[in-house]
Amino acid sequence: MKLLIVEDDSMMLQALSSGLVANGISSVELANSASIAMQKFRSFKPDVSLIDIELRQGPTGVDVSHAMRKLDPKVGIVFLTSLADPRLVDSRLPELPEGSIYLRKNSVKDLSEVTEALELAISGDLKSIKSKTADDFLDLTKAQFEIIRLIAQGHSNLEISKIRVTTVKSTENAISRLAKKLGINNSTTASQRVLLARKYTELIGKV
Amino acid sequence: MSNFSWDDSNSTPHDLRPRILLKKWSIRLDYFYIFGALGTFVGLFVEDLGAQTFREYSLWLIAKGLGITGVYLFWRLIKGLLEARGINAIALWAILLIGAAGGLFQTFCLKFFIDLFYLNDNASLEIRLISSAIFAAIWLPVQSITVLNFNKFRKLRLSLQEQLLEMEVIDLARKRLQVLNEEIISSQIGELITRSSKTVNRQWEDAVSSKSKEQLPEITRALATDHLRVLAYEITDLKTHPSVGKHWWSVDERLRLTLFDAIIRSVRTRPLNPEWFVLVLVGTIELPLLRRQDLPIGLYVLIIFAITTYLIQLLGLLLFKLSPKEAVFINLVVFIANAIIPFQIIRLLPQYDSNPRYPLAFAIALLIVTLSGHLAQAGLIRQEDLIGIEKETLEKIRSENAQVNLELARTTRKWAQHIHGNVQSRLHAYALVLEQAQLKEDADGVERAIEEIRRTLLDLNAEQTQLHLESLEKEVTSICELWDGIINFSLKIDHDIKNLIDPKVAEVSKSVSEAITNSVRHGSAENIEIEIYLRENILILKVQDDGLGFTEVKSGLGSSVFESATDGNWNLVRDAFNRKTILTLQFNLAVPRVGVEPTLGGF
Repeated sequence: MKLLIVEDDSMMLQALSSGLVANGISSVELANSASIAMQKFRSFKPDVSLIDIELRQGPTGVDVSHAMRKLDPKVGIVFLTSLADPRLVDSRLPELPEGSIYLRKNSVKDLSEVTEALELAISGDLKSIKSKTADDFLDLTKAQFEIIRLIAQGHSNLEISKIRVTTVKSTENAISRLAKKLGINNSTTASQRVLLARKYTELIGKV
Repeated sequence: MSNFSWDDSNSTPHDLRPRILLKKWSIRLDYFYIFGALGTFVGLFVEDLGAQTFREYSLWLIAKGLGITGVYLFWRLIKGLLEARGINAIALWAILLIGAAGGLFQTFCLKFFIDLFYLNDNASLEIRLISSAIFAAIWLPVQSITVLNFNKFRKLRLSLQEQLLEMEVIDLARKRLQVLNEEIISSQIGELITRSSKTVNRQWEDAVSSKSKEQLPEITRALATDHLRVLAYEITDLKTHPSVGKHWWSVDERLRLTLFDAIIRSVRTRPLNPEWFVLVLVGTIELPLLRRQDLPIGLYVLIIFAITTYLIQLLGLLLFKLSPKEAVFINLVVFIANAIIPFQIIRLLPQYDSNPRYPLAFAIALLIVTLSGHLAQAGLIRQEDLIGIEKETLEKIRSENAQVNLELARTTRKWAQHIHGNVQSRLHAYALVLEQAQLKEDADGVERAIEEIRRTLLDLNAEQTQLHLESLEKEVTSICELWDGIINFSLKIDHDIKNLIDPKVAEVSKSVSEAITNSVRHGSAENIEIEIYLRENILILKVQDDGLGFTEVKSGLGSSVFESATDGNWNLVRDAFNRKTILTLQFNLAVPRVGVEPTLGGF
């Protein structure tokens, strides 16, 4: 099995690669950015790619996966991410490619789980693998994904309104709707903010 | 002057004191004139109650009284007297006394003047009375208005001084914020990291020493998620730290208001208007009506009156740094000059002889009047220059502020990302390695992983990075390179803006990133052309791609990124013939590019 690992953290990348080689995967190439990933993809022509969704700035793992599928429609795609929902990184992220597998870093207790997923991704017909869609993830709207991210980044309501080109009033309303949806009910808006930010870090983190 | 208020919840910053004091000292010199008029009344009754002169004096007084009270509102005086406290009250009473004394003195001089002109004449009393009234009706309002203008000018100067003080305050605030910024970078972040690093380390060492090595991967994960997450959040939260955000807002607000005020003032206030000289000259018309041989004397008197007044006011203008006390002094001088100079002139001039040198004297007088008018205008221009300089300084401070702000935002974001992304996933990776090594019972591997984790935790503190603002070319190129391989791009930046360093650069690169994202995700584009050039201080970003068009851009975040980056100056067109989508954005540069060296073609 020829595997390409795309992960922005070099240490994580090394750890994953040594772990997976130890688990019996013969040929592994590593990329720590989207552009290197595409370069290696063209030369190495892997059977399957293991991709992290958060790649710092610029394109996300999802963008990379679509670009890979354009070059090779049959390549297996496995996402290994800490995100509870890819849209937490960018609310306008496209759907995951067909037949892709979504693994959360904090739920992976053993590297053999990753190996199994990689094997499944190249096992045959892509259509047989049910990849996750928006319905499988969080039930939030685009605007809500964006707002929770902006809150966690420490923006005030005024700043959020400016960024989203809307009024402060509607931002306030949107935040309270969001809080309600996520089950955060609090009398004071200040602690509601903190709770929302915490919720966000939970969702993108590994708690 | 404006409705700005510095945050008063804390004690007033020490450097704001002068501004407040200055405001207290801002005394209305109008009172001076009202008391001058009162003094004139008193002087009249004390000096002469003779039947014939009394009637004439009465008419003078009525005319003068009408002129003065018509110009000044009396209620101000009462209000001012009631409100005055402390130094303000002392100054007010000083004005009152000087005004009254000046008025008294003026009465005696005027009596002499009237005696000289009218009482030795054979003209009928009625004609002389009417002409006196006309003279008073013209001359007194003119005098009032010139003084009013002087006051206006004084107020303008005070407000300029106030603004300069505010600028100092802003400058101090800016410096303080810069210090704060550095403190946040070096101390607050440092402190947070040290604290977190200590806690994490202690817990980790406890776990290692308790020899429950099977639990180590789990503990490592927990440390990475709990502590580092909290740390990252705390660092992100620094951006909205009250000591930073609030001050930035108020400084920014303050800058805008000051600038606005300065502009409004420069337009509205026209001190020392030379047009008033014309009115003074017109006032002389009444004298020839009275008696032919008085004409040269009348002209001399009036013109020299006007010149003296204006020269003294010009003196005030040139002595730009007048204090209220000095303003009172100058007004006193104006009064004495008003009273003494005509008195002296009339005494010295040959009376009742037709003066052969009259045309020459008239020409010289006109020349002097014109010259002083021009001097006054020069003073006005000087004020405008001053406002211009202030404006420039304000712009400079504003752009520096923007840069410091940008740096602060970047630092916090960078740190939060670094901790959250880098260090956290590194620990997770080691946790996995450790687990693997334990599974394989590889003792060396376990030790190595433990050592790596320990080092990562200890090194948290040493993970300092340097901040710097990148040039336009570097910024945009780095954005494009991120997408290399996913989309083909060509980037063209005008030579003379490649090295541009401006707070707007961040907006430009954000927009480039957004445009590429949109092209890739929604337009399925394969090629993208980016062009950046300058048109008269407006930076233009043009992005063309061969995709389907930004179908979703109007509703998505993309549009709001473009909207806020360009203040709405962007558009998107679809060139169906060439199958291209063209996005154009315009950015007003924060720092005007006036000092750009012209570049030679071909380089």
